[in-house]
Amino acid sequence: MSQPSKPNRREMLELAISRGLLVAGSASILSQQQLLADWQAAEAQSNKPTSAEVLGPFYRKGAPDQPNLRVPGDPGFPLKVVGRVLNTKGQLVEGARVELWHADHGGLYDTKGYKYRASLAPDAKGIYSVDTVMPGHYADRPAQHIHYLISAPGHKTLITQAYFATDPFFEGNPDKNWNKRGIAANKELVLPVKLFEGGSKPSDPARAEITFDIVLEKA
Amino acid sequence: MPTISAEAIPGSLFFSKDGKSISSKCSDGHLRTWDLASGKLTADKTFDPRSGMASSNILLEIDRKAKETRVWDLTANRQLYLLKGSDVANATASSDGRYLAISNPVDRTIRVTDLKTGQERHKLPDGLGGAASLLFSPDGETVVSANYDNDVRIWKTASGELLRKVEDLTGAMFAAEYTPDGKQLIMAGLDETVYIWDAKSHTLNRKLKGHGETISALAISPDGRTLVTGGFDVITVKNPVKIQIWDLAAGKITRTIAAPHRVVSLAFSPDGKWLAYVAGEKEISLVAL
Repeated sequence: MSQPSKPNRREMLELAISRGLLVAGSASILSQQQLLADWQAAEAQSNKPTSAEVLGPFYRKGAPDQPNLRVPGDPGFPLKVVGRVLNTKGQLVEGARVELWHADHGGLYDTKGYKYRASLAPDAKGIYSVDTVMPGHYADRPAQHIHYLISAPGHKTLITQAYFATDPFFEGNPDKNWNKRGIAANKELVLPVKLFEGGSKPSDPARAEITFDIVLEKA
Repeated sequence: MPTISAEAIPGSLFFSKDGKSISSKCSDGHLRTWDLASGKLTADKTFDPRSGMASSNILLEIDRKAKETRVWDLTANRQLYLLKGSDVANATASSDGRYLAISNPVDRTIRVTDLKTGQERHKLPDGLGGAASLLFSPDGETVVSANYDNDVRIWKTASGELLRKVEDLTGAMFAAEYTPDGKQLIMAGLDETVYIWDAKSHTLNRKLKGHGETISALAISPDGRTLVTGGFDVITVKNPVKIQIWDLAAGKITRTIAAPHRVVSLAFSPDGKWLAYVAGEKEISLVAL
């Protein structure tokens, strides 16, 4: 999740008031530093829930709990996806399940089997990860994306999507173009992509990597 | 093969009861009616492009800015009422004119209202992704939602009682219709398979394989003997697909028609002699059966 930019004094006051830190009218007795400290303390405790997107037509129930989606010889650039499932206080959510699915390198979804589909339980450290390939482009959804469905006891099930800041669709400027043609619900869903050169071992290929931490709200 | 040209891509197709004309709400928001004998446009009424037909007679205009949905009676040519909310994945009106059902993908419910007054009867908890198909039985007694999350729910309309939840499908059902006698419920979608359910016991009778593509539309002839399924290429709606005509009792394909793009809608004429379809072009194609 990207950090919000530092607010100006008026915005700080509004934020502080809206979060119940201040009673309207009493603002002048607090210094700007105090306001900022209060705002930061409140902000640290309240992660915004990840924005929702549509489920789309290609979801299939019953994907395997299997993180190795890419097999040797698969066309497409290797991609590692990692992340955690958190609550709005920034704590790991217990008992979460992360389902994700995406098109192959050519933009085709597997509608009969479960290629590039997984249903994962995060590990003891709360981390989920998959080895897969970069999803391709297809005409009807011109930005590369990964679909997500995340559920956990006591939390609202979230449906969302992850996009790639390196995607030519964003024309090198995802900050400006994240909502081009209404593609992403929120700028935060367009994720920075790290590139790794890789080593000599097949288990260490040249690859892209994204980190997608998901914030669930309470049910 | 006769075609009717339209200024924009038509959506769902509705033959008039006498079979002499056909109507469709097009992608530009115009509801157009054509005379079938001459192919001439006989009526043209403009609505918001974000609108959809809940039946041959009921149109919903979805106003996202005002967060409301306007319900129109097309026969009476008047707005019936406003409903709060503009999150609409799908909507359908019962053919007896008693009920309206709206799928809301945000609060994940099916709202059933009294069609005449707009008064809410039930807010039924549905699945996660909104209804890919939403329909009433011909007698209006049951309402069915096939959710994008793959599950199908069947409720008793009057009481809101959940009669059956089908949880073992592994793909969304993009198209669903009851047979005209109301005895069977036919669904098809992502997994290229046609599912035929007993509409009373809600158990699966048969599965038909052989369409060979994801299925985006289906229609059943007025005599209940013929099924037609329309295809959807999952790479892009622009790729060519097939329309398959089935002998329903035998479960066999009797004829295949090439369609230029994803099949948006299919309809039989009331006498069953014509099949009309829209496949992504600014036209309605008519096939003699």
